[in-house]
Amino acid sequence: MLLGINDIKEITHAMLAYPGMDYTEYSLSFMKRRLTGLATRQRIRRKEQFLARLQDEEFRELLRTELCVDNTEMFRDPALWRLLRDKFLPALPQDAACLWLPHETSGEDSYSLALILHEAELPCSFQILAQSPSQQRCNNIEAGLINQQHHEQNLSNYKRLEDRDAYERYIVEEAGKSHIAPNLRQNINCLQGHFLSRQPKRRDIGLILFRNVGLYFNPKLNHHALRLLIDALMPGGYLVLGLKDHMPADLEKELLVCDSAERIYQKPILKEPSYGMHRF
Amino acid sequence: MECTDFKLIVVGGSAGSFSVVSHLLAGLRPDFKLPIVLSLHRLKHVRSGLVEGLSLKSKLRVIEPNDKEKLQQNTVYLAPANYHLFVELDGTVALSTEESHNHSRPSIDHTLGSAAYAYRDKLLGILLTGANRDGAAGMKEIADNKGFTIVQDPLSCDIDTMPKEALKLFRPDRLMNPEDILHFLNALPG
Repeated sequence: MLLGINDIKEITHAMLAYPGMDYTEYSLSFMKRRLTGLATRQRIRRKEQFLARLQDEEFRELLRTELCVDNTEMFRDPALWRLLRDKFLPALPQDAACLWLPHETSGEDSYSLALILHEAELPCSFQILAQSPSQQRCNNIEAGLINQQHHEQNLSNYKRLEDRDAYERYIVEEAGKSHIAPNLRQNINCLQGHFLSRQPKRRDIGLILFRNVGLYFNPKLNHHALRLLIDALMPGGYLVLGLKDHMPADLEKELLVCDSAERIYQKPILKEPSYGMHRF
Repeated sequence: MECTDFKLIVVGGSAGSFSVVSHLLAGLRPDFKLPIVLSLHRLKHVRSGLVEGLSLKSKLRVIEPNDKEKLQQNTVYLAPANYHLFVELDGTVALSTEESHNHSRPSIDHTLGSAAYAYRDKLLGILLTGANRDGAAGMKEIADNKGFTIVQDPLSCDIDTMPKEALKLFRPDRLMNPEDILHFLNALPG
């Protein structure tokens, strides 16, 4: 099925009728690719059929899943994970308890985070909060499901990160599928819902991983999303973007650039009022 | 068809294309204005080296763009490792970590196809030497959208699979060796 720009706008407008399905500010070209792909696989040939199928919750779940682009692998960009493990996770604010992935998809960033926390023997009191618009994605992440097609790449990245062959001891086979080991996934909790409309109500978020998500937003939504995340982050906490993500200049000014190559930013710690300065 | 009123050039290449692209960038006029987007197959997990290698001889600035970056004159944009590069209707770059296409990320088809849709008859597409069929469908999309197409002559290719796959799908406006492609580009106005 060929979808034009006006068709995409009509479909995304119709999706608004359902909770947590506001995709109006996603990039039009991204929506065109994903909706066309889903329509082709579902053998939907006309826009009207697509619109009619929106009334079906099962189809809407398929759509939400389709609009979550999988992480490409575990430990994508090994240098970043090394920096997190050795430098930034040990330096999290004392009160930090939550490590938030606002738009997790296939779970691989969550698993990578759980694994480096484990290997670095960092506090197991950290909760990894993986949020996804898709209930199916949440179920998969809570079950620790790993995309088997990424196995070789995961293994190779792990070797580059850790310089040893221990990756496979963290993988278990359950019912013919690969899962991350239960002791690693026990600290991963899922929150279903789009982070733009539902955020965790907590003030102890010390790290936000938001890698390669803003790629699929238009500039306005990307700015809005980053504003929301910066506000949700506790002072002294870290925000990590994808290597090529766009960071608007006005927001970047509010943050400390900790590592420009790996795109790690820190929200400044609020300074105590310096009363001495006002004594005359 | 003979068109010289281009707004963008897109180049796809795979095995053997580094030396051809290097040669083209080294030989282009220093005042060459049209933005050039390069979608070259590369190792997914080697982030550095390619842009630096191409910059060594290029008279134009060569960069790996960030997402949402506007295409500018006098600049060569190289698709970053492990990202697809799409060209948007507003003349910006959209990067993506979506599924590999033809085992490739970046995929040449994705870059060429999106540019064809955005720039239509103002686009010049060039497909170079390579070892798989990625790029063939993208070049056909350029042709279908009335863009101008140049395919490297298979006789001049290190590996001719990619040009030959393209030639199965459509008839390009030009079939050229690298030296003739360079002359063609330098003869463009502006």
